Amino acid sequence: MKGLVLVSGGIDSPVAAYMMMKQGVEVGAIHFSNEPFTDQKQELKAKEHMKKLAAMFNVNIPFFIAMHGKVQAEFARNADRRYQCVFCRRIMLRVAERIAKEKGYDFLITGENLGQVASQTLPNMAAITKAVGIGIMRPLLCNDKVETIKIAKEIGTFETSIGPGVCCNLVPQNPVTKARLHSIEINESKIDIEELIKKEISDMKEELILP
Amino acid sequence: MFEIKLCKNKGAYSAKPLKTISLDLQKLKKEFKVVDYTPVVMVIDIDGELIVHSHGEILFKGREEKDMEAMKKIANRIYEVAKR
Repeated sequence: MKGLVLVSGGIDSPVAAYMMMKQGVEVGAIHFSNEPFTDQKQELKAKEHMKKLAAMFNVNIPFFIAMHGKVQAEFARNADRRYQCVFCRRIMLRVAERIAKEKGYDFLITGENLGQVASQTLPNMAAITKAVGIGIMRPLLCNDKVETIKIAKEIGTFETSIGPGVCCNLVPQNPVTKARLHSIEINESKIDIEELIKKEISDMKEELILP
Repeated sequence: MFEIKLCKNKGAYSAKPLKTISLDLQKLKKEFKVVDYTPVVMVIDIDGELIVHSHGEILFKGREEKDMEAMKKIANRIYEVAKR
């Protein structure tokens, strides 16, 4: 089976990819770049992680780069910024779902870990997941961070993950932690979501990472 | 008035005012090339992209320590133009 993993450049997503690849899942990877609100370092880290996994499992990994910053800015200008992180994740999943369907992936994979950041509370994750119909595998959902870091060190991705990088500059001061679907949908209705998703997909770059 | 050092994730140099200030990002639009913006963050291009926060922090993308004097000049200019 094939899974499309959302990779950020952080500690968790390469570990999630590794866990699934260990189970024999064939993976592709999609990175959402928040440029110009960050720089290219996170993208390069994500690519480095996939190179490591490609070499480890001796496989090719398709690597998609979605330009996500403009979509984020459109939401921030027009809607309630407290929902920025929830919105961001919902759009990521929608874009990833379309790519997954187009390229023949059976499900999405994320490195989400319960309670770690604002978008990863149970109510927020429930609201985020409702954006798509495709299955989502979350192999690290209930991991203790220490466990995830241990695996990251074992597979050699930890040092890259903690390397220098410009963090996301779009996180609101007071993000919602118990988002209600109704409120999210009201905010999403303030922008042309479909047009933004189409643009993000049409601007997408695709590479093939070789072992 | 401000200090410049590596940001907390060491990914870029950051100028931070020594006292709390508020920047009017709309004023930057008139003076500089805007790459993109939100109500509280603006990306402008002055010999390279900078991320300017309305609370006063400026992140210099892709700069090195040798660019310190240039960064100071740019930060001074931004604070001069945008300070409320």
